[in-house]
Amino acid sequence: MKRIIKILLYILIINPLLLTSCWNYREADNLTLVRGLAIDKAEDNNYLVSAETADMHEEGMEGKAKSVIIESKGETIFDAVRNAILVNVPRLYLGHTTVVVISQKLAQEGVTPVMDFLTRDHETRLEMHPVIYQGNEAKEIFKAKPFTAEIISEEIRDMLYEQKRISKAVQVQIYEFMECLASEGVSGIMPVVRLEEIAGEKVIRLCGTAVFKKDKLIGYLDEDETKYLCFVLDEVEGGVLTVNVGSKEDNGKITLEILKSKTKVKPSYKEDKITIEIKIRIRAVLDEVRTRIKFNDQKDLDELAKIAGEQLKGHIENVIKKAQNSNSDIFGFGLQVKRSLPKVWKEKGKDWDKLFRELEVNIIPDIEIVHTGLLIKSVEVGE
Amino acid sequence: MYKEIISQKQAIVLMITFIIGSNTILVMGGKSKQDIWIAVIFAIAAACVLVAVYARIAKLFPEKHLFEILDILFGKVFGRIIVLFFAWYLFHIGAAIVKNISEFIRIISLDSTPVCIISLMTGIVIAYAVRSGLEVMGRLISIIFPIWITGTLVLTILSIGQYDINRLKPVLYEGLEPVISDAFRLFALPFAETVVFLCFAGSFQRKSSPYKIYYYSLLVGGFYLAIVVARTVMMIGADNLSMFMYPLYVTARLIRVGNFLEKIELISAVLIISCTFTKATVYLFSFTKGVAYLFNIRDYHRIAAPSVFLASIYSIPLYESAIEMIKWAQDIFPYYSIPFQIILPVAVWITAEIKLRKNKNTTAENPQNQAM
Amino acid sequence: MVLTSSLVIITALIIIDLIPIYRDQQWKAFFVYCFFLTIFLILAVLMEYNVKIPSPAEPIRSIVSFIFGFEQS
Repeated sequence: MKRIIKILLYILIINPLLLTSCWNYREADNLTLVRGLAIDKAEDNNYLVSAETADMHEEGMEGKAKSVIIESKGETIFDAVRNAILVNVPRLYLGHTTVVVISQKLAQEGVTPVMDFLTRDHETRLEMHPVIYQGNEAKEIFKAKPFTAEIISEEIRDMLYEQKRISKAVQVQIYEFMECLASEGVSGIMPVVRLEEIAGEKVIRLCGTAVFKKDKLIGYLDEDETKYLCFVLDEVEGGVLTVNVGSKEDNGKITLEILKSKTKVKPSYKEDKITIEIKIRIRAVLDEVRTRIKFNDQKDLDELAKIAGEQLKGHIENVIKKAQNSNSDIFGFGLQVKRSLPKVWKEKGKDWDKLFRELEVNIIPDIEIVHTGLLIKSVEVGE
Repeated sequence: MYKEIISQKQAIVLMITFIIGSNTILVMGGKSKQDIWIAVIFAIAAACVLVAVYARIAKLFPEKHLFEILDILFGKVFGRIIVLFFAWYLFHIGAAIVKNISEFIRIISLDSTPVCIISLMTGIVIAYAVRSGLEVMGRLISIIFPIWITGTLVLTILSIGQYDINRLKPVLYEGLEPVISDAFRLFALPFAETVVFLCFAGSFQRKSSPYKIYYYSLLVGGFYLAIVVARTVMMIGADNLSMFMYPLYVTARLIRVGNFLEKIELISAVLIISCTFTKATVYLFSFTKGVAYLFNIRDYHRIAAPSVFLASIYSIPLYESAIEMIKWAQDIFPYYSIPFQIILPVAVWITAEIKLRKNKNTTAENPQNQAM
Repeated sequence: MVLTSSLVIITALIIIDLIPIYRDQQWKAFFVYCFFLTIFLILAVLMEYNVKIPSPAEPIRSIVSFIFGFEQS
């Protein structure tokens, strides 16, 4: 009996301690799950945050999540996020945010405040994808019509995954961008989206890469340039390589599908001069021939690979020139120099901006055509 | 009184967990950036020398703990003054570790819960562990340890795709100076802290070798730490490492396998908290033993609970914020611990060698008489 | 908040620990126990009324900087 009373006493004492539960206890249906954020700068120096939320109050078994857009304004980003309570009852929960759309105007002024908020807050996650919106106001993006997913943020994320496969978009996560911001000798990049009208409907289109200098947006690369940027960054996972063959009037084109690509960037230092050597090894398949010229034996294929290499080299050089003109080391050449030639970097790293502009880059492409598909010869047309 | 014994295996496992302990929360590597793993290895090398002293002390006085040794060597009064200071050190650092845990929990999840609730709750768990005694702790840790190792291995393997070995380059870019400066902090923070184990070295199993215990756990725990920091640098880069408050937790947040396995940072949080909890338990256990010795209480279990709760409530005003706590641990702690981690053990060791040699000489003259 | 939870803990400790100690007539342990609990209670009361409790961190910082002679930022 005494023992039972003792145990009961313990339970009585311990219960009030344990049953307090968390102070910030939240039920899942009292939260608004944010899937994407769009951050704008309003005229009066305030931030305008539009959150795309997944509405989970849908009835029925199908339960397709509907997206609801909530807009709110505040002096800082977090102020704006919390001000959403003024418009919509439950508070925004940022733990499931996948995409952060930053307006062009805000990015041109500098993305540090956005990055600080996104990394400091304990709800947001570091693997979010920052995206630049090329247009007036980032909130417009949520007015687009999604194709596959119900929620636009998910659509953007899926597009990023898919486009990565054809190497026409870069996939950047918050922490990678932060690393680019913090370390010297490399500039940040982000994918770009814009709205395009197709058959009267506004749809999203990924269109290349935004180029940063420090934390400010300074320019764009288009999709094809992005592909060549990916070659330098060794991010190519697939995609096609078109090659012009024959004379100009002929306008012959050949398409190679990339199976595998591996890039090695090697800086070297000779006679007080830094040169970068980029070796690109590509294994590709002949996929489409749009020309009269015949490719029938190994010698022709080798010839073709050589031509493709030359053209690839030209394209990459153009992209590098473009970056050099805007003076933004998006390829991370400076970082490569620092990593493999630390002594040189210590001496010259301070005026890398100047050095980068007149940096000499040698590109050595090495394309191997593995097979020619199901055809041995080109399609023959009877004379 | 019943004497507590823990086996060699349990002692090793306890010490490994202790070494890894709060370094999972406080990653000390502000200066050396991507060379932090070299700093860890330097710190291990330096600790190897000091640990020889600790192990020698434990070997010279089998079945005696540090407080009794101090009494034998320095006399009743002076010995007790040293014990008093040492007990303060144990109490202070124990409270600081409780603060580490509660700040960590507060920042990562329970941000509007009052700190006092978190620290007192932590206090309840630690008090229960200390009150149950060393043997229970030893058994508990030998159950937790395999789970713990599996957890870390899983996290490491899952994140393998996100490693970029180039992030470890350039090696020794800033020269050796920052590496050595960080090595000194790392030497003080996990490795030399094993001095605490002298407080219950008397409970090591008779046939176990203190050298084996100390060196085995130093090497395993040390290399584990080196791998963990290298992994963190490879995942998020050295610049991010010095920017985030809890880099190890952050790396676990990034793990993503396919489209289905993500957001598994809670595993990491549980591992971190359980490890740090072990460390706090070891400190406060030693503190309780010190207090019991000071007041001549034979059974230290009796006063375990209030001493632990005192530490856990005192942890609240210890630091104003997590930033202050981390800065203090990095800049002040290594110097603050020099008297306790280096000067005291070396003094004990030298006095012990001299005294024992004298005793040998006196007993050597008439050993037969005693033997007869 | 601090005071309430501390009082709950103190009550629990008295029932679980202190009464058996008293019964076993271990007076040394009993006094040490009471002494610690009193400090615990005092700290809790001070914290409840927002009195600033001195932290050892600052004096130790100044002593260390004094001995090793480096400037603290």
